[in-house]
Amino acid sequence: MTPDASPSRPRFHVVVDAERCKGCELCVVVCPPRNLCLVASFNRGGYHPVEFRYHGERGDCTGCGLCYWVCPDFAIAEVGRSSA
Amino acid sequence: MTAAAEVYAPTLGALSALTGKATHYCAGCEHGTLTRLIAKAIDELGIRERTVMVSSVGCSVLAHEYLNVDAVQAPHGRAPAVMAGIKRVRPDLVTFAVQGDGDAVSIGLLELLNAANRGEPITVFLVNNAIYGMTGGQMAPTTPSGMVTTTTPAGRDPVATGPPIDATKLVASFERPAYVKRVFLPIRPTPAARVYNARGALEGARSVRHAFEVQERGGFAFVEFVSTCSVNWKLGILDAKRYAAEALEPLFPAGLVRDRFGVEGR
Repeated sequence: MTPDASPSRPRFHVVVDAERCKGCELCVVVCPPRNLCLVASFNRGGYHPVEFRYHGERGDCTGCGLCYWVCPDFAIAEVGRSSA
Repeated sequence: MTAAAEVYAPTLGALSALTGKATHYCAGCEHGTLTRLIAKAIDELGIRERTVMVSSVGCSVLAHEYLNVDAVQAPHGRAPAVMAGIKRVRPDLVTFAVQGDGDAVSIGLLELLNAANRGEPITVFLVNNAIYGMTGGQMAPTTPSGMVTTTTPAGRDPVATGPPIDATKLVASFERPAYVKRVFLPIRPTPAARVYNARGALEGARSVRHAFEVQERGGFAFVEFVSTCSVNWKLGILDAKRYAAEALEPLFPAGLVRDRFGVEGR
């Protein structure tokens, strides 16, 4: 089965509130496919916030929500799924 | 097959029990994680309108600014006594406190143990980071032997200061408490998988919910969350998680100690 075999395969999104992020990296290290990483730019608080990408180092986002549960600053605002 | 419009639905999202204010917690602190776990449980149980938070003294002192519930500020360590008063006057309310180990195990141990002995229908969340975090990293009763703090620069000496206090064991020594549990909240390094294990946060979410359910059924609920304080341990955020797994977990093993109403099985 190829990764994008079915058009009805759900696609997951993580919405990051970059201004709340303190760059603690908890979500970065708990994410199994490594879909989150710190960016080089700064937010208003002076931190490097995290950024979400659907295609991670080791696969696509599965919507597991671990980043949402561990985030101490509610910066992982939303985890959602879209399906056709 | 015709291309249908994409339907987007959040699986996890905004919580009505959170005010949206930015927290004052240091980066990577379990206090913030626990705040969201509590908000999630309040939302799921639909008890926001009748929940009263009793603020303790410590890093959790401002938690009422982040949780969209009514709040009372208790004197240092006296949160269980204030909660007991609230519940005796208004048994229909739900009340809880987030206490630190300096607040609950040091100055407020008397209130905590007497409330547990009476079996007051209240919920106490204890955040045990083995140190006084807000005041700058002094030795707490829960500090492991040998740990360097600002007041024990040569490491905690168990001969002079006694061994660390196990609050969960103390509360469980009484007959009345209905729900006593300890959760290891920080993410845990897993050498094989290269990914940190977040089971503590998921277990914490269930435990917070169970602790509220037990209170609704008239029991005393106590959940201790083993946590980190990277700033005052003078470690990096992820090094502090590793230290917690190595030094705190053997001392404060996670597990369910008592579940009188059987809420865990449901």
